[in-house]
Parts: sequence; C-alpha cells; structure tokens
Amino acid sequence: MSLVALTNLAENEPVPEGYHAIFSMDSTGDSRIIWDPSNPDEVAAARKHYDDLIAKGYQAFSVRPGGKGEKGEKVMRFDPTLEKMIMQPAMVGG
Amino acid sequence: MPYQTVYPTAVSNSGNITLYALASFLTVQTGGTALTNMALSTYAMETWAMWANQTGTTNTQYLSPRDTTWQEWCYQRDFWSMNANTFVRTPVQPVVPLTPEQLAAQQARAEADRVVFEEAARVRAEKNVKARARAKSLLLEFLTPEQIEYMDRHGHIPVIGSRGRRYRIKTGGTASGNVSVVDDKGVEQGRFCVHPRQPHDGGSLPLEDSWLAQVLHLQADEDGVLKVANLVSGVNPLRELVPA
Repeated sequence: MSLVALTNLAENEPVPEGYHAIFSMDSTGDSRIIWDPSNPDEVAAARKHYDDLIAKGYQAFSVRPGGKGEKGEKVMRFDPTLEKMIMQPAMVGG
Repeated sequence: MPYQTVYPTAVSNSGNITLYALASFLTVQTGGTALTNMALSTYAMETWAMWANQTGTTNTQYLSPRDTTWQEWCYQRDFWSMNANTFVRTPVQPVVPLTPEQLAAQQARAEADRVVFEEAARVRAEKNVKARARAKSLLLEFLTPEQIEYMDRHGHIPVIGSRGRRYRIKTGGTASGNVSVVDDKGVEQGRFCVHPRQPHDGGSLPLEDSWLAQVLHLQADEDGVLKVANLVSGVNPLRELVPA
C-alpha cells in the first residue's frame, strides 16, 4: 500500500487550523510536516514518518502549539491526537 | 594505525636490512646499515639506529600505540620502490625546476582549487546561518518569555527538570559541557556534557536545536539525561540516590 505524501511546511508558515504537525530536527534547523487527523491515509503516513525517525534513533516530545514553556512529554508511541511533536536525535554524553 | 594493520612486510635497505611488521610488533633482521635521507622523528630515527646496530639476525621491537615509527616509515615511500612484498630503497630523485608553462599551469590549478574551496565555504556558511535562524525560531517558540529574557541577559536558559532539580543550559558558542545542575541559590553543583546525536541527514544540528533538545529532555526525563551525561565537574545528583 502506498502512503499519501504529507505536506511540508515552510519556516514561519503556521500550522493550518485542524492540522497536526511533526517538527524533526536536522541540519537545516528542522523539517516540518503536517497532516489532517481526520484523514486516515494522512494519519497512516504520519505514523510511518514517526516510526521511520524512531528507527533512526530519534525521540519524540509532545508540545502544546503556542503553549510557551509548557513542559513537553516524551512520546513513546505515535498518538494521532497529539497536535504537535518535536522529534530530535537521542541524547549522548559528550 | 598503519603498523597495527599491516601484514608481514619485508623492507630491504641496500639488501641487508629486512623488517617484518605484524600487528603491534616489528621483527627486524639487521645488517648494520643506518637509514639516512629520511625525515624521521628523533624517536623513529633512534629506533632505526638501534635496530640497524643490532648484531643479531632477528630482533623484536614492541611498539606502544603512540609509537609512530612504522607510520613514519610508511610515509617515506617516495624513497622506496616496492618489489613484491619487499621495499627496496631507491636513490632520491633530483628536483627538476618547472618550466614557465608548467608553473603557470600549476598556479592555474591552485587558483581554480581556491575558487572552488571558497565557494563551498561560502555556501556552507550561508546554509549554517539559515539553519541557525530556523532553529532559533523553533527555540523561541518553545521557551517562556522569562527564559528568553534570561538567555538574552545572562547567556543561559533556566530549566526545571522533571524531578524538580534546577538546571542552567549555557547558550554560548557550544552545546558541549554546557548543562549545569544548580541549587536553590543558583550555585552550580555539577556540570555535564550531554547533547543530541548527529541528525538523520548526516549533517550537524544547529546549536539552537541542541539547546532546545536539552531543554525538552530535562523537562521530560531528567534522570534519563543524567544517566547518559558525562560529568565535567562537581557531582551527579543521581549518585545521591544510590546508597553508599
């Protein structure tokens, strides 16, 4: 089964109303994808995106959109109800 | 290190010195000829002289991992030609002056290399500026106004960890050794080096991303951070939880 392509969000482009987002850190700063949680195909594609990054050693944190300083929660499995996740490489001692 | 990976190799100097290199030791059959015309370090030269002056037919020299003797000899291949598995020393070729055409061609190649190098450096710098700006916008989106003000004024981000400990993330020019645990009065108790691994695209994370990663991890799972962190100075609070 081929998955639908998710929309990439440009920097400073706000997440459209009703959409959820994953920000993944990389050498460009971050890459941002959005999906419609009411669309099963897009949810499946978002889950695969999440799983791919986890397989690459990333960890996920849920943050509230616009909730400055809200304590992020570690996300242990993909949850389509989370509005915004930041995914980052695992920590290592330097 | 070359001398740790080479297989038994014979080196002949005027046909009367044979050297076998295997793993971390060298076995030398000596014939009394000193090595000359080689830019060796004093230690390597002394080692060669020692071997060359041995009277036995076979001598064994154990090398420490920091010993560069074998490496240095390997780097001197211009002086040697290889025949099967035997290096035979050859005469040093005299330096032939370049013709004006050759010199011009050499200078043109150097200039072309310089242009390519500078353009690549410019592109890298431009990408880095963009990446840091993007990462900073994400960092600012997440931090509270108080944290942002503290960062701007004092050069670090105050963070309350998931178990209530207080941290300071220094935001200077590094994401290494920049995480401190502090007491209620702000006095540093311990300093750590802990940062995100390399991202999946193979590049390196902008500093602002690394600082945000440190903030998120400490707020969500500070013990997890302390478990992998390397202690730079002071104490690791996790040790307080372990009975003596």
